Amino acid sequence: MKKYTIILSTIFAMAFMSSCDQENLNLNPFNAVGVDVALNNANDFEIAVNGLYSMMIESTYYGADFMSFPDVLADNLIINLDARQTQRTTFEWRYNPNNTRGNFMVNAYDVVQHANFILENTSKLSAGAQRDNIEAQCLAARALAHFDINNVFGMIPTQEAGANSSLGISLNFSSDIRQTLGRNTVEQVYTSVIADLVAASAKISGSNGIERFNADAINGLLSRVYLYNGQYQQASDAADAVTGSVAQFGNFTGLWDDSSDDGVLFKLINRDADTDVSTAVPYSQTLTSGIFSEYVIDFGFFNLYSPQDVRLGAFIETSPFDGVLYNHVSIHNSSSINAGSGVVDIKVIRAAEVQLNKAEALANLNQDGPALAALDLVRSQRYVIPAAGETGQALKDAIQLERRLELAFQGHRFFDIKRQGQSIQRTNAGQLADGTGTPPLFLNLPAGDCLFELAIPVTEINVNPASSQNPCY
Amino acid sequence: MKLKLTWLMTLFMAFVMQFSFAQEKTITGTVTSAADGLPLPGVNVIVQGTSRGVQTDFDGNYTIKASTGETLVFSFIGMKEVTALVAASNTMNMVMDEDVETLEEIVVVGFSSKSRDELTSAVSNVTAEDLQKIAPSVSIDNMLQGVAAGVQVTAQNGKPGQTAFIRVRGIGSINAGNQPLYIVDGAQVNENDVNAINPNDVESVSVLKDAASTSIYGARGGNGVVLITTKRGKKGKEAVIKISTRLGRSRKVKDNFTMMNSAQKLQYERELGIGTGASISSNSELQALLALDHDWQEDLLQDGLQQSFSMSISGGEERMRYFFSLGYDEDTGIVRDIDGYSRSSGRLNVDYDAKEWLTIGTSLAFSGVKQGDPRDRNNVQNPFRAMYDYNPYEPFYSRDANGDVVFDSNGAPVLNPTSAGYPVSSELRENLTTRINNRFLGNVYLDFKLHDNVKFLTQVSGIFDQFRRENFLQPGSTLDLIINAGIPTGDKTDSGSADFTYTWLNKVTYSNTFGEKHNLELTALTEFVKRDFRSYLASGTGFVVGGPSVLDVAAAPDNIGGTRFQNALFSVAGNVDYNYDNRYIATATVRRDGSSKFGANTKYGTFYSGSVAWNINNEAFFKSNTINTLKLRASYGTSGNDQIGNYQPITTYGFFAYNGQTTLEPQNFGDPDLGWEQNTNYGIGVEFGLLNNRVRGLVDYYNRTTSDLLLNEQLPFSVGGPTVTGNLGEMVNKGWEFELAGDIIRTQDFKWTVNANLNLYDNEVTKLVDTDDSSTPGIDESDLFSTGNFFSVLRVGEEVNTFFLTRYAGVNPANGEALYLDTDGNVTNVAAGNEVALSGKSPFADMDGSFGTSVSYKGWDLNANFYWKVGNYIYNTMESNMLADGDGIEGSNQRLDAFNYWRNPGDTNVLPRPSSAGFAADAAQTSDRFLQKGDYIRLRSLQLGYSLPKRFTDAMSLDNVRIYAAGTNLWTYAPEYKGDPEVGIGSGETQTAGSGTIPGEFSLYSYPTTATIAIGFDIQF
Repeated sequence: MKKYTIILSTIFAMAFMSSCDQENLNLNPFNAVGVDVALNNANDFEIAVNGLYSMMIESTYYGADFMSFPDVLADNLIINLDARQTQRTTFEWRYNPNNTRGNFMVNAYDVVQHANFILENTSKLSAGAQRDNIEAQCLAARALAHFDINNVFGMIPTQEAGANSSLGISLNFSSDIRQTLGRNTVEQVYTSVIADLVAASAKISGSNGIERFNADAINGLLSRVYLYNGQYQQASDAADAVTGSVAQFGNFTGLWDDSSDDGVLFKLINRDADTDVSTAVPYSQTLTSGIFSEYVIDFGFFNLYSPQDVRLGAFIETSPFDGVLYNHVSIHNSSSINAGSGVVDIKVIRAAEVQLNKAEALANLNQDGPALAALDLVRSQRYVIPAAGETGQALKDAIQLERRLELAFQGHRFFDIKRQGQSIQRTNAGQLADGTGTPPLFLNLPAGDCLFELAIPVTEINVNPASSQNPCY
Repeated sequence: MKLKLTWLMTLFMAFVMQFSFAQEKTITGTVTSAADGLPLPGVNVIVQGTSRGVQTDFDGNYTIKASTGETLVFSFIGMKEVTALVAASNTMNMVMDEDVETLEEIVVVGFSSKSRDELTSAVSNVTAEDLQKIAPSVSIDNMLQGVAAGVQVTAQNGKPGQTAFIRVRGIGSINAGNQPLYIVDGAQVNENDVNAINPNDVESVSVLKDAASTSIYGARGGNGVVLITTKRGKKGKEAVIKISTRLGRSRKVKDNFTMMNSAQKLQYERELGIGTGASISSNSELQALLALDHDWQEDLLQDGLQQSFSMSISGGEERMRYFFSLGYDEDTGIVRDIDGYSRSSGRLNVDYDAKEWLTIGTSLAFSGVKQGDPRDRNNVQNPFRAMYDYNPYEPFYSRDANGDVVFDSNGAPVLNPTSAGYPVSSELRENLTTRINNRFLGNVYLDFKLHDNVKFLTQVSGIFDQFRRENFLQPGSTLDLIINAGIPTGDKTDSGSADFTYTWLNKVTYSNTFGEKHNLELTALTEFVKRDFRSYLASGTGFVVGGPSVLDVAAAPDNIGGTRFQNALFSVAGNVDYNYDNRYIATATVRRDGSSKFGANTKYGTFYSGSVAWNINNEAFFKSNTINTLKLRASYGTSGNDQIGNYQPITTYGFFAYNGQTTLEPQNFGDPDLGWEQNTNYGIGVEFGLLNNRVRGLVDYYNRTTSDLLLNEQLPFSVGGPTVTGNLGEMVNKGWEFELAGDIIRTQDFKWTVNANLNLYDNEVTKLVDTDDSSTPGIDESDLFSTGNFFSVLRVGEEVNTFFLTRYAGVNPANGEALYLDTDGNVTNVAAGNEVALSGKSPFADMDGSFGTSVSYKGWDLNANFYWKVGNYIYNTMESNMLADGDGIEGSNQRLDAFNYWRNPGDTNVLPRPSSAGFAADAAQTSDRFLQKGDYIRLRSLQLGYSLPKRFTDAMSLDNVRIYAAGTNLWTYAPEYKGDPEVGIGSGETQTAGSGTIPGEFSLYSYPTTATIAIGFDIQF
């Protein structure tokens, strides 16, 4: 009897011991899919493309940083030293390789990497309109990210004579995270950006809405890139290919709380329930005792808005915080859709900018008449009584003024100064509503200063042997 | 039916007949001890195979009825069981021998138990008896502080029911977990589950410290193993019923610094020309403010109430053993308005000898824990920040212009929002978080005795943790009105998880003795562990003021979420123990682990160890009257740390949303070669006993190298800047452990024992992910900052998490400016950007230890235990707010020594010139000005007990009655650190006990440490 027990038990034990095979050890996550199976069918590609937009809207890219730091760097804003002093090193041009816009760089390159990943796999789809549209959006996203990174860390072609041959940023055309990328010249970067956008415009679907890259958006971006690249005729042509018209006076205020989409060519939709980024937070927080501003509008710039300018009310709120009056930047503060504070859509490109791109390009080609016409398409929708009939330098100045007024607090100002090789000159005004208070210590960044090219993050230098630092650092 | 009845009747008759025919007689006798010939009281005498049994009386005499041919079984704890056949004689005297084995300390080691003598590795063992001497805690890990050499225990914070950080032989990891593996009766549990166990149920806690003992746990054993064994019934033992009750009060450990009172704070504000103090215009105004003086700690804190009731019944008969317990513990904690912690627990452990060759058994425990949470993060919702920040002249309730309390429309006094802008009491009263854990913990087993030498055990153990967290922000509460623009809305969040881990163990053991001296034991085992975790979250808004709070009431849904993960481990292991005549002992272990956590290319890891011991005192040549015990041990082995996350090696894409549509985005870039962190240990030890073992001690040296440290490799930003987790670093821990105990007096009535232990720690990071670039002297690119590093850095050649701060160089006597050293050592007035690694200064102690004494005289017993720690540094963030150099002091009370600031040129030994009206100082910059040595010594526990003499207990028919008074943390001395020096987590919600958190790096208003005093009452019958 005992013998049987032993034998039976041994068999039993052996069965126990061998019952667990390797299958039990290959476990996959429940909230994600592996890289090999991520992109199989058309729907996978569609949602992967959606991913490009939600990655663009992260707070370190379009969601908040890129909507604020190009203004913080420039002359549109004054720091409120009584607040949390966020982005102070940026404001004071005291950045260094340890403290630069590294997160922005990472996030924008993330978009590039993801776009490349999708592009490398589109051969799994049959050729046709759907595949073209997927590829077009990836190309456009990659182009825009390369363009944005370059303009922060590298020169802009029109900035100075040697700009094109100077080091821009590393162009990335592969999803391989183990590749090592050296820096390309600015000229190479711009060539690539334009090539991607041109290819995208040929493939983009005509039925894409403004919540994603569409034909108007790509042409509008092309007009911007050509303008930055000094290709004025192409800039004007690209602008002409845009069908959307400038937001009307009556709709303009509604643009900013997303009750109107008039004149918007492409915007990143920001919702409480998904992306939920507060675009307003770099500028201010709304507390019970009022708006608590990190940055307020530079008093000198504030005075450039005429009282009849519709933008004044849309962009600025003069109200007290703790009993003290400030000119708060309120452009991103309210939404007609979201409950979250500062959760608003990010307007990446609007028809008004395209007309201003065109006006500037034509003025540079000395075509004052059409340039003025383009400018007035914007001005007529912003003032009750638009200004009249400038030519020559006055026209160019008017275009630049209008550009500053129209695109303020939307991440443009630094690039508009930089690409024209100008200086940054802040008014010696304080943070309070009447210009008093504590004026900033740093008022001027002279033209040609190497600080116009921000420091390449030290991490990139350390882990990428092919990389190199900018002259200033 | 009828037939059955007849059959039963026949059977019954047969029994009756047997009884009446058997020659039942009365047998008497005396049981004595072989050692001294003295009578043994309390010996169990049982007629084998029946339930008839008696105990010997005080003089060792017994009387029992038995029949000729039956067998009497005599059993007594500490004695070898003897049996005797009932023959013709009516007197059966019995002499019992001491059972040497059971008197020795039995230590649970991995998958077997050994006596101290047989151990070849470094194992610390804490028994129920030891635990009784320690002032009680609801969580057993906290009770281990200072008890075991080489085992550092730091309370995470003072929160009721909070578990502890346990570090075995130094810091083994940077990014992976540092917690040891916890095994309760064979089941792997999380460190958080430890507080589910009623400490009264614990028979012993073994801490396996070296690879020789941990490698049997393979990829999980690298950080040491804590084995918790619960109590079980003993054979042939009448039911013993124990009832324990305890009642205690807890109070925040008193600060070793003084905050300003109203008069002082107002004076300070006047001096600086800022805040309320500066704007006082009349004496009456000043007097009114002074009259409001109070200590916010008294408003926000309370004396906590601790209660504990537990009852256990244990015993056993011939074939069955049982242990049953029920317990209830409550600790309100020291925060007013919040019920901190309560636990109800129950346990039943049963073993049953179903056959001669089969034992079946189970350990089953249930525990329900309910906790109330105050906000524990550095913000205005945190009561521990508020109690220091709030100005003493700001009253608890709002006052109107006349100084009268303001009432709201419901007639309730309005809480003063204070200068912080938010009344923290509103948070405690109206934003309630409750956490509930219901845990089932246990195992079932079958133990076969296949042959005299072969045993087979199969055991399935599991822990199921059902967790629920509810947060209700009451509509109309202060925070609710802020969030919802003044409209009472209310918000409810329900979240929780179901977490099930099971372990299936199969083990075959062969043991035999050859030639009387060669003892061999072979063990082979397989183990399969699987964990399945699911969680959910749901929240809604829109509740009725004063109404119910379930989610169904919510007007609108707000948020949902849920996740799940699994991991699995399959292992095969073998162990050989060889013991020659208890002189030479050798152990070898090998284990092969396959884990789902490891990458595709590294699914399996093999771990091994070998150890030897030499009991010199058992050698014939060793003749010494002074040295009774002398043992040498040496071990070498490997083990792993698999706390590396669940899906790290896999490159994955996750799902998010854009514009209401699903998105697919990269989530993790994985390295398919990712595996465990490897620990390679070697150690040697000496154990000794002198003067009839009145002096006992041990010395251990260890060297623990953790290689393949999990580090996040940063890839270039230009490829998207991902970090990929890889096995990249290396770190070495070396240390010495000393233990010494001595019985100063050892008589029947009077025992006095002293004990001490001392641990020396040395840690060095030897390899990190990036190498230093020699072309950039002065910049150390090999520095690594992990997410856990707030004020510290990882650098090759330095201690792990060495502080990385700008050096403070005092105050410029000329102008009062704070001075610092730049990276080159030149004096500067800029703090930011001049951080350097402060060699030798880390959050980890260089040495620690404990010492204690235990005195018993007749019924009295006194136990005291001190714990001390030297050489660690703590960044005192709280001090930087309390000596804020005038920055923001309007809404932040200051320490009294803030007055000692620079006033006139030439002032030295002062604080920097503070910000004042018209002067902005570069105030209280982060620097080593606030880095303080964390050295301290603390009276960890003190207990005085009295057991009633036997003549009283006998009169009450009780076995034992003990009353005691116990205190914890009654006295602390910290020469340098300002605040309580036992810092675990700096900020409860920012840091969790999981991987990455560096215990003791900084203090930031986490739940304060408490001192407790309790009285208790134990009865046994």
